[in-house]
Amino acid sequence: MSRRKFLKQSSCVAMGLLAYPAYSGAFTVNASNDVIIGHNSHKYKVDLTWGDLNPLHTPVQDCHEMVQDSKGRIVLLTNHVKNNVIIYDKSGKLLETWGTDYPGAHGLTLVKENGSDFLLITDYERHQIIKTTIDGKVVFKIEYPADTGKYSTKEEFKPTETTVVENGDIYVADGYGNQHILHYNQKGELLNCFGGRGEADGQFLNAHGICYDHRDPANPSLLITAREMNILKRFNLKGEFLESIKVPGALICRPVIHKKDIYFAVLQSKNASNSDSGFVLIMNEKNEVVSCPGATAPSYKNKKLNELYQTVRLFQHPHDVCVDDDENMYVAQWNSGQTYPIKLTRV
Amino acid sequence: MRFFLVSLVVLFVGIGCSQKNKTTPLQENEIALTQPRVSSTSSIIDSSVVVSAELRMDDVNIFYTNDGTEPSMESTKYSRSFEVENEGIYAFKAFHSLWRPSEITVLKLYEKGIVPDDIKWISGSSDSYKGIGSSTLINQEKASLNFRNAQWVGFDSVAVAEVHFKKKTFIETISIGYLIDTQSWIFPPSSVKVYWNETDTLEIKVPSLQQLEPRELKDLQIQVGKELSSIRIEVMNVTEIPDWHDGKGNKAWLFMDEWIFK
Repeated sequence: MSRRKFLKQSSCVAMGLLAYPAYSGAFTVNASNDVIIGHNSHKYKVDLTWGDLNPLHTPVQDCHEMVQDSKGRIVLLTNHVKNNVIIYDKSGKLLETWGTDYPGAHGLTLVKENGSDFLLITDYERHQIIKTTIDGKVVFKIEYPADTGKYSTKEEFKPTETTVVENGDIYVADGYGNQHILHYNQKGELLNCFGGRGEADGQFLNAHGICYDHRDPANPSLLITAREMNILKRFNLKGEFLESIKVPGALICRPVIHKKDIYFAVLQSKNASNSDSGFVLIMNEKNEVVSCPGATAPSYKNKKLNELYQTVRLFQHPHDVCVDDDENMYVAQWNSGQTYPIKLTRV
Repeated sequence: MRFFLVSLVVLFVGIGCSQKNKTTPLQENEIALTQPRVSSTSSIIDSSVVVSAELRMDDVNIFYTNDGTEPSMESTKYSRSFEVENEGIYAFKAFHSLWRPSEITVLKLYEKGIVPDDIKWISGSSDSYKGIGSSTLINQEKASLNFRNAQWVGFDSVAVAEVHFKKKTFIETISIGYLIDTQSWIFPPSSVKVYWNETDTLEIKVPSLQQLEPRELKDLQIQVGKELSSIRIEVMNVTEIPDWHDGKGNKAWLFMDEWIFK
């Protein structure tokens, strides 16, 4: 029995037994022991069942990424080809599903153009980036970047993430492929290529996630995770390396900027004996780690962040977070027994 | 009447589960702590080693045993690093008044063995995981859980070497260290064969894994009880990754740690 199933069953049984003699009082008794995870300014209660659906009708494989669209809906991308895109409202109610052609559905980015929502999906099995309308109609596809000379076959290109900057240009992280960052214009025409596999400042091991950082409007930049290296790297829009921000112990997936903070799903704790040792990580506007829901409290010694690691067996392999307009968070997980996203409610 | 009561209970249980689905926050007693992180200055004791344990979380207490029993809150409470002079197996477990206890972390400490005078490799290791030279497996240093640690020597088929002692030496046991890291396609050996004095042979089969296992340092104890000057050791890899694993049918990795002769 999976841990998740066990938790659900045991909690239902416990609640049933408590409910029989004094149903209303049962909640009061348990209320004081609600799980609260996180630190400092970012603490959360946990709803493991928020995203649960009938797996016979609306199954998931890996839950890879999530975004909130302009209507406030929560859009989930999974690599289950019965329904690659699952759209919820914030209460967890299923609104619609679409998509049966994305076996390697991995990266999901919301693009707003002239008042309409579009999605960019990276598919590492199709070796493509696909732009769709919010209801799933394909607008265009970007094929593997043969023109760069960095790829001899399309199989070497396994894109994991995209981000879109102010002028509509698209940057793609080839996190499961040759580790390049590809820069395209709004039409999908290649403009630049940088990065590549390696441990130098401007290179990556597992360039898994990328986002556009315009918190400082005078100096917009790109934040790119080198997940296996436990480093967040900053580049300018020309692809020149600017700085590294080390997060020891944390295999950070993609950076998600919400207001002034950066949120990350952390797939695993680097030195844990179990691989399902993930957690969530939040940085403030100075790029200091301020909260790690499910893990050690962040602490610095001589300005260096101490190693972070999971402390409670709550998350398995968090792969992405989505922060909604109520400051609540949704956590999508990879390789976690086909479980649905978890909701974290800010307290 | 009984039917009515049972129905009432079922109804309430049903309501409880339905409510839980969307409104009840997770409770602390539903979730376990992560197992403590345990380290020692060395896993092989020459004179003494220092053992440390931690789970950096408020109000967590760690208890430990070294007598083979499972730690409880009645066991020795860990308060600071401590020195160990003799080999043994230490088990650590974390407790909290609200969260469920952790699983156990086991630390095995070995007494220093007799160091062979030479090791001659018959099979080649992987270029990517060749340790720190031919003597990696007899340098009296154990590897960490991370397969990238330089004390590991990785093989994709078989590890074969001959170990030599200048003088005939009585060897009671041999400990063959290996890694289990099934997520990284690293499996235990299928068997170990030992040959000595040109006539004696011993083969030990290792049970195969049936499911994904947490990363773990393991060792196989081989009883020899003979005086010898050389010994040939063959550690066989599994033929292929089993069906229950994502990598089924592919070659598995075999990662060797210290060989300790006593």
